[in-house]
Amino acid sequence: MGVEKLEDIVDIPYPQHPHCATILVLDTSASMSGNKIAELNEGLQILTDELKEDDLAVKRIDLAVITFGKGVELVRPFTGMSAFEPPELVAGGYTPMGEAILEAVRVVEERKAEYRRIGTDYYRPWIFLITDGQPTDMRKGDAKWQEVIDAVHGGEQERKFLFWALGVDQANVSLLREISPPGKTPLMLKEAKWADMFLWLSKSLSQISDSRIGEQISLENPTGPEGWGLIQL
Amino acid sequence: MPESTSHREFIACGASVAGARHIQGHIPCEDAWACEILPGHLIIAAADGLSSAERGGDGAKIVVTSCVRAAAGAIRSGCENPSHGADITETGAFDIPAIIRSAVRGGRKALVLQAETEGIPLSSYATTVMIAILSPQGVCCGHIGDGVCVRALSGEVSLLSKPGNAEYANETPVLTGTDWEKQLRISSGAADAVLLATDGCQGALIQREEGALIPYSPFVVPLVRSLERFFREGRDCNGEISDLLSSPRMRALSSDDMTLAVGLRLSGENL
Repeated sequence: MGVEKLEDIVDIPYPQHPHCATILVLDTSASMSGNKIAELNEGLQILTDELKEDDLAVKRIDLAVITFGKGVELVRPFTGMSAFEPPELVAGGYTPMGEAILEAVRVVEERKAEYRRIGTDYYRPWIFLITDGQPTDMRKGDAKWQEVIDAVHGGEQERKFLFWALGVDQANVSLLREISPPGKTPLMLKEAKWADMFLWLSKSLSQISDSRIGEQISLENPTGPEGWGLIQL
Repeated sequence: MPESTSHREFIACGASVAGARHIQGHIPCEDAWACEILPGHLIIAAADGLSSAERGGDGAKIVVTSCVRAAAGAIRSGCENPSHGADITETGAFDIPAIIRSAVRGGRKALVLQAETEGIPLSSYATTVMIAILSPQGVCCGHIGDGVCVRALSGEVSLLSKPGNAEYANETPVLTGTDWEKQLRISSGAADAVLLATDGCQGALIQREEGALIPYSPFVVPLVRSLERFFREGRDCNGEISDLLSSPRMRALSSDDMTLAVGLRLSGENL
């Protein structure tokens, strides 16, 4: 018999993992028809497959999906990655982006309250907005616009969540820049780089789920020559 | 790594090991621990340098060393000149919370000096800190940030200082913050052993049950008993803790760096 080791003597408990609520707010308006919605669906499948292969992400990421097109719909409530199945999205309708953002902020707060109620530690939630257009349910300066700006900018400032906007194709980048929190420049998807963008998202979520303070800034830069994104000035 | 230390009545031992994420990224361990034993007092400290800070690992090393040195200096000075010691209460006993507060202040001063010397921001040395002083009167712990301090008395385990109160799991108060004095929590209790764990391995010492944090005795009690026995058998207690932290079951708790530092008062039979 070998020398007795501490790991044979002590009882090491099973790990209790903090959770990271992540919500995708996806544009499914009519302008997303055709290749774009097909690639978005494919991207969601890639994201799901990648995260399911990451042991920590499976234990820590809770993913939700809100769509805006024919209305605003929470098509997937927060679900752990092992049980998450990507929705099959269909394009149609207008672009009620403002309402969708407010809904995302609301469900994220609800989720945090749930974590607190059951005593689960949690990371700061992430909200990712992906759109190819501009909002049709608010105009710059109107009451809804102001409500959305207050919710997003105030939410980031009060450290309620982290918000990223990703534009595709004809997305109105200047509006996205105004909606985005100060210092968070929206990213534009390069043509045909959908899969790369979702791989980046998956890698980012894997890093977040294994992170300490501030490490979100060390995420791989998606705007390099080989990256999927552009910063449009 | 400090050597494990004994002084007839106390043993101090511990280890800091790189987490899986650091090993994968070829980043050295950014945790540190230090200890010193004086007649009647054991001082032990642990710190977790933030990965997001450029020199978090250096910050952790500087802080544990300077905090322990400052606390030991205060106790020595009080022993040598009991009537003039600044940290002596009216009853003539050491004011341990005051010693801890000034030790942590000393640790921060050392970081400020280092940052000024290097010409870089203080935040580059961002680190958590825990320092505990064990004596026959009990244990007192000063704590900023995450990590946990657990005490044991005759086999009964209690949580002495829980992880700092940031809302999110990947965010923590740090000694380099401007509000460090507000973040410093000092707790005391009766004890014959004290354990400090950084957040990488705090999950072995505490568990959440229905929202409340409770100490995990099946880990703590056999650990303390075994270390005392290993010490009697002449085994390298630091090495034993290092092996434990590097074991697959411990690594499953977290991919972060891990530090476990243990101070214990030997039972009468071993004196």
